[in-house]
Amino acid sequence: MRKISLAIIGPHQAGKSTFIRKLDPSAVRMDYEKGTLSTTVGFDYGIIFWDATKNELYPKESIENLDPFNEIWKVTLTGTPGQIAFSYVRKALVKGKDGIIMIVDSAQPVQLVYALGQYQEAREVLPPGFPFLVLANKQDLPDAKPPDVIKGLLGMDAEVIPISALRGDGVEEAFIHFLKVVRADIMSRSIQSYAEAKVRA
Amino acid sequence: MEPENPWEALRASLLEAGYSLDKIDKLESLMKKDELLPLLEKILEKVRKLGEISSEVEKEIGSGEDISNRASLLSQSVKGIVISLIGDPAYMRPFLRDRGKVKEVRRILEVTLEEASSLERELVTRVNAYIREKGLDIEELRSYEEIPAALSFLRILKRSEVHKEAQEQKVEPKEEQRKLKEEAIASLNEAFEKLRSIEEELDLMGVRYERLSHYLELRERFIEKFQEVEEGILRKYLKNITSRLAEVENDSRKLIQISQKLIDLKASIEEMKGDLLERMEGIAELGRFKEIIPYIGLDFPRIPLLIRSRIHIESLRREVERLNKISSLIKSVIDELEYMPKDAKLDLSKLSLDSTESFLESLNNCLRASRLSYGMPETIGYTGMMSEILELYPKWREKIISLLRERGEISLQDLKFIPGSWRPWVLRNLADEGIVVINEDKVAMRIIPEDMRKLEMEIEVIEDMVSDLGVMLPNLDETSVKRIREDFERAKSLFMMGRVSEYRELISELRSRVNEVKMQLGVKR
Repeated sequence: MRKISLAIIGPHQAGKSTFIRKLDPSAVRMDYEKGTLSTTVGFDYGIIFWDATKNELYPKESIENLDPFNEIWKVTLTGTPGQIAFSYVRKALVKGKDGIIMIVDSAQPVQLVYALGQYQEAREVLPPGFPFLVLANKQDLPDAKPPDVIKGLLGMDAEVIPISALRGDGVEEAFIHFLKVVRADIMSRSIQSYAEAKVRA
Repeated sequence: MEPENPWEALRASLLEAGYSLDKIDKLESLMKKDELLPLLEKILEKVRKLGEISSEVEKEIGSGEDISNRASLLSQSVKGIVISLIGDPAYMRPFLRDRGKVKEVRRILEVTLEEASSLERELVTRVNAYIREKGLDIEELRSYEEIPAALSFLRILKRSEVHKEAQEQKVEPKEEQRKLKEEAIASLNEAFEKLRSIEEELDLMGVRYERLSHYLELRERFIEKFQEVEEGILRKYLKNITSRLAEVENDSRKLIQISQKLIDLKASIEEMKGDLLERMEGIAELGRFKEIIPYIGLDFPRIPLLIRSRIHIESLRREVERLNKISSLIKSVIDELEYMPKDAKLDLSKLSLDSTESFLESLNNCLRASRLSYGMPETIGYTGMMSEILELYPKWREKIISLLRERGEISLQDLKFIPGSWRPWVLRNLADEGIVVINEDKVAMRIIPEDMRKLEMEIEVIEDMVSDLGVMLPNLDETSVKRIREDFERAKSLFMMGRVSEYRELISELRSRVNEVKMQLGVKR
C-alpha cells in the first residue's frame, strides 16, 4: 500500500487535534520528550485510508470495507505542538513529510503571525514547492474572517479553504482535495525520476 | 407441468442442471439490476413463438423448418449465455463485478434480439411469396402477428381444394419422381459444397461466420427432408432452400472480402507505423508524440473474429472503412514529414488526442502549416506528457486489474495498451501498491488473495505506527511486529507453494497477533 505522510501545523488552539480526530476518531495522543529537559509536549497521530479510485475516506478500523484492488493510499497525520517554544519538535515532525496542512483560527487573526513562523520552519526542512494548504478553521464562529481575508493577511500564495473542524463542515472535502494535490506531486516526482533514470541509462 | 413463462422454464432448467435456488435468485436479481433480464425475457418469448409459428408455416407451405432450427439455435445460444453468467465469479460476486462483461452480454443479447426479429420478417416474406405464387385471394401480410390467422385461412382453402386437386392432378410416373429428387439433392449438395469451401477459406483467415456454420450443420436434415416431401412441394422447397443458401453464400463472400481488406490494412498500418516512427525520430519536437504511435491499432478488430449475423458484417465493413481512412492519414503524415524542413518550428498546441483519426488529422495539419509557414515566428511548445500519464495511469491500472481478474496471470505482451517505455513504471507502481507480484522469470503478474492483502494492510498500519511512534511506545515489543512481518512473508510463500491449509492456519494466527498489537497501539496515553 502506498503512503502519504502529512504534518498538521498551526498555532496553539487553532483546532489541529479536532481536525485530526474528525478524520480519525481513534487518533493516538502522544507525548514527545523534550531532550534532556524533563518537560513534555503532546501531539496527535492519526491514520486514515483514502480510496483514490472512489475518492472516499475510511478510518483505519474499516480495512474490511476497503476494496483492496482500488488505488488505496494510507495517510498518516501528525499533529504538531502549536506553542512557540517547540520549534525544534515541529521541525523534527515535519521533516520528510509529503505535504503540510496549516490550520488557523479564522476568529483570531492575531495568531496568523505565529502561523507564518511555522510555515517558515517547514520551508527550512522541506524541498521547494512542497504541497501546502491553509484551512481557515472555526468558520462557525460569528467573528470568523472569510478565507480571502485570511489569505490577504497571510500574504502568501497558498490556497485557503474555509472549514469548521468542530462541526465537520468542509473537512472531508478539503482533505480529499489536498490528497489529490499530494498524490499528483508524488506521482509527478516518480515520473520525473523514472524519466531521468531512463535518460541516464 | 412445464412453466409457461420462458424465463421460468429457463430457471427450472438451471435448477435441474444443479444450480442452487439461491444462486439462480441472485443471478435474476443481478440481471435485473444490469437491465439484462427484460432483454432476455423478450428474446426468450420471441424465440418460443418463432419456434411455434415457423413449425406451422412449415406444415402449411413447406417452408419454415430452417427458421425453426435457427430459432432453436438462438434459444440454445441464449441459454449458453445465462449459464456462462451464473458460472462466472466475475459476474456473480459483487466485489469482482466486471462492467465490461455486462456490456458485452448486453451487446450479444441485442444482436440476438435483432436476429430473432429478422427471422420474423423472413417468415412474413415467405408467407407472402406463397400467397403471390399461388394467386390466392388473400391480402398480403403486413406483420408477423398476422401469420397464424393467414395459416388458418390457408388450411381452410386447402381442405376445400384437396378433392379437386386429387381429381385434376396428373400423377407423375415413379421413375420421373425419383429422377427429380436426385437432381434436387445433387443441386443442394452442390450449394452446400460451395458453402463448405467458403467456410474453409474464412477459417484460414481466422474468421468464423456463425450463420454459415449453422446452415452447414443443417445439411443432413435438409437432405432427409427432401427424401420425405412429395413432388408437389419439392420444387418450391428446393427454391426456398437454395435461395436461403444463396443469400448466406453472398453474405459469406462479402465477409471474405471485408476480412481480407481488414487483414491487409492492419498489416500495412503496422508497417507504416514503423516508417512513421523512423521519420518522427528526425524531428526533436515530435519526440513526445512518438509514444502515441504504438497505440494506433490497439482498438482494431482482432483475429480470430466471430461474426454472428449480417449486422456484424455491416459493422465490420464500417471498421474497415475507418482503417482505410487511418491508413491514408498515416500515409499523408509520412509524406508531410518527408517534405518538412528539419529546422521548421511546429505549433503542437492544436494536436488532438481524442481519437486516432483526430490525432493523425491534426498532426497532418500541423506539419502542413509548419511547412507552409517555414521561417515564421516560434511556435508554442507542448508540455502535457506528464499530466497525460497522470491521467492515464488510473485507466491503465484499471485495465491491468481487469485483465488479472479475468485471467489470473498476464504477461508483458498483454500490456500493449501502455507505451512500451512506461510499462516498467506502471508495473512498479502496482507492485508498490502491493497489488501484483512480478515473477521475474516469466515476466508475469498475479493478484494477491484478498484476505492476504487486507491482512497486509493491517500489518502496514502497525508497522507505520511503530516506525513513526516507536520511541514513544515503551510498552510495545518492536520485535513482535518484526516477527509478524516475517511470518506474513512465510504465509505468502506457503500460498505460492500451494500449501493452502498451512497458509490459512498461519494467516488466522497472524490476525490474532495483529489484533493484540493494535490493542496496545490503540490505547490513548
